[in-house]
Amino acid sequence: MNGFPLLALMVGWGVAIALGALWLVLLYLIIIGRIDLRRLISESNGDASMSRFQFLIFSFVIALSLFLVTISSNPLALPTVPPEILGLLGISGGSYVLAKGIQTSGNVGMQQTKVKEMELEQTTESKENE
Amino acid sequence: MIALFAFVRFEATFLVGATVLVVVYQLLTGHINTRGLLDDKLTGRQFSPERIQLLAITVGGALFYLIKVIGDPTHFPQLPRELVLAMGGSNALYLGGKAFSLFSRTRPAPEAETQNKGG
Repeated sequence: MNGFPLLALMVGWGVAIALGALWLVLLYLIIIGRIDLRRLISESNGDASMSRFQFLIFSFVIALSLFLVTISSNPLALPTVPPEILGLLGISGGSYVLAKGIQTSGNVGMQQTKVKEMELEQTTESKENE
Repeated sequence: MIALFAFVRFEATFLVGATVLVVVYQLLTGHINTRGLLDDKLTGRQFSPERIQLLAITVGGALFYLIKVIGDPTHFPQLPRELVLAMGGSNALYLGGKAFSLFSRTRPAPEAETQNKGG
């Protein structure tokens, strides 16, 4: 029984050091540009997306809040997340999904409109030729 | 065990802070692409009112919440119902505007419709 607290302590130190080292490596790769964040909030066409930007801000704020609340608790424990926060993330995520849906259906609609316009032009030209 | 808790607190504070700083720095210096963030892609206007109001409410709401958490970090503060409603309304306005511009863009011109019916 006496060995278990020591084992827990060793595992704790090992996990803390390994995760910290991994995070440091990722951060270093971001800083030197090997992990490229240029298109972090960009759409496939290269323009920045408001929905992605909003999701990024909410993620940072909620992650920072969770972190601050957790390290302020004594003893260390994960806090309960209020439903309003989950609702806020839901609004942001839902808005992103809906925006993508609108964009996609709009692109399809615009392609159909172009096809109709081309057909109309061809019909008009053939009538003029006759 | 106390030393481990102190180390984890310091490590997490440093790494979370550094990550946020790196991303914010890259956003502000333009390394992370923000081109066209406020533009209306469908009508070609340089500033879209729907996007500007969404950005203002998102940044304002996020700062408000973060300040409340920093003020009392012992628990998650209650989010005012009005703020949640404002966020929902703002997102609805943004999506409504986007859907309306797309609808008006994809609808064929009235002359074309008349010609189609006529011939």
